[in-house]
Amino acid sequence: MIGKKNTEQQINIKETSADLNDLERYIEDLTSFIPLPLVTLNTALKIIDINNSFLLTTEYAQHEILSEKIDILFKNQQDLINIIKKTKDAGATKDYETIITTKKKKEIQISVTCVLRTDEDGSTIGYFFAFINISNLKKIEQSLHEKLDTLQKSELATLNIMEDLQNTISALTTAETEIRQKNMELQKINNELTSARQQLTVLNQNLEMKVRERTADVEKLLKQKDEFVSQLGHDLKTPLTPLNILIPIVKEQEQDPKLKELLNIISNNVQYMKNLVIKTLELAQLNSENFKLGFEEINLSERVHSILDMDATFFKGKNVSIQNNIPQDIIVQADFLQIKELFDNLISNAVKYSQPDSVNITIGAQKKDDFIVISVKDTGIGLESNQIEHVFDEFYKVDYSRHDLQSTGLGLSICKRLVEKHGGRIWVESQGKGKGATFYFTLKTPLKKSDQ
Amino acid sequence: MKTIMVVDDNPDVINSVKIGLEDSTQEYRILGAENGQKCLELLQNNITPDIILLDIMMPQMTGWEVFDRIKKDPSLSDIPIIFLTARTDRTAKNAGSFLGDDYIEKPFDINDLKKRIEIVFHNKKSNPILNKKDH
Repeated sequence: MIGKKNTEQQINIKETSADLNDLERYIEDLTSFIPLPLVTLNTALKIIDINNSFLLTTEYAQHEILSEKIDILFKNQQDLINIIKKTKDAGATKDYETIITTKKKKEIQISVTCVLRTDEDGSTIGYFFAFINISNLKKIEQSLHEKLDTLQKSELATLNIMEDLQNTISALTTAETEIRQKNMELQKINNELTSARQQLTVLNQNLEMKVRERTADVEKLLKQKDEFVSQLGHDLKTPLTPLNILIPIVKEQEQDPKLKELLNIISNNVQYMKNLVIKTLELAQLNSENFKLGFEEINLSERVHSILDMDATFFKGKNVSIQNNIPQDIIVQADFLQIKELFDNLISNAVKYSQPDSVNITIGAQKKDDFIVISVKDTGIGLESNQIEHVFDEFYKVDYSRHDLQSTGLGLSICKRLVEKHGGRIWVESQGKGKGATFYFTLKTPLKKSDQ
Repeated sequence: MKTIMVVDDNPDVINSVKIGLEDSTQEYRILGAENGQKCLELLQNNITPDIILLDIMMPQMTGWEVFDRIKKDPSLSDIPIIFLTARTDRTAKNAGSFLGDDYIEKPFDINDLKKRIEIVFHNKKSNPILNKKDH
């Protein structure tokens, strides 16, 4: 019976052995088929088994790596210590990321899963390691990170732009508000200005009305003044007439030299008063708007010649030399009677202010554009610059100290009015005291046929 | 002897002209009239002067009116008239010299007046027809 038993046992062992062999081959096939690098370690962390995927990944040949310690693969030994410790504690470690170095020193990022190997009693006999190559994943992750980074940056930039925009918009809004306010202020100012302008217009109108009224008043007063002066002049002329006739008769008949002298004084003053009245009336007449000139074309040289002829009788016996240098061809448009008055006044003025023993007067004329400049030059006492501006004033006398009864102080005022009535200008030039004076005045030339 | 009538509202003017002219070498008889009315009255009383010195500005009747009456009367229109005027304006001058035989401005010199009177007499004597004015 026993023998039979042994045989049965032998058969069973054979069968079991065959089964085990099958299982081992099966496991080998399975492990070499799995694309994950797998490695089996003993408790001393020496490599006791590997699969094909492991060899492909680590680039080692089987004989080079078996019995070696797993340490040679790990770049960071602390990671290995951590994995072993965690596996011992918890029985397994999942997805521990670390770096391994291949035979050709290539570094590969991997995710390690480690499981504890125990025997039937539960004692540790080694470790299973499974490596998952996560290099590509990491690269993708890196790239994703970078992309995310870029995105974040661009988002940040966008945010910045948005913020800038926001700021700009806010600034614009503020500016708009300010502008609206300024506009309102401007509108207000504008309104005020308009109102001020309206007030000004009203004021202006009032002012213009007042000016018109005042001007009318002044014109009326001036007219009254002229009328008064004129009336006064005429009224003075009548009482002067008997004086003018009688005094020379009395003077002639008087034998007493002392009384004759007194009569002389009276006579001179009557003469002076007569001149004053006549000149005042002339001036008043020139100022009145009723005064009209009788214009005619005058050959200036010829007419001045005749005036000088008439004056010659006045200056008889006196050392007076008057030179007429007016060119023959000069024609002026003027009122002859007034021109005679003008020359008489200027000549008697020149004589009056010259030394009695040497009176030299030169009359000249020059054509300038469409007018004639006439000059009456003397070698008399001349004028200071402060006198020049007053010589045409009414009742102005250059030398008050002379107290002469020859001068009324109106002759040059009359000359000025006469020249102005002719549309001309009169002025005087003198180099100073004792250097003579030259009076200039302008007259118009006749209108040309083509101008009419 | 020539008769001169002086018409002026100021008696002093008449008197001074009278004294002045009587003083001259010529023998003149002076008749004074203190206004236009008096002048015309004298003329109507067969008094015919050889010349009339006529003031223009007189109250009531102006010299222009007196002049007009005289010139319109054929028996008087031959009498020469010299205007005496205080006016110096052109209108008065023109009117004086064109209408009358002459005009003289106040205040005049007696010799100037004498000269003008003599000229009027002289013209009248030498050519009375030419000097006659038609109005």
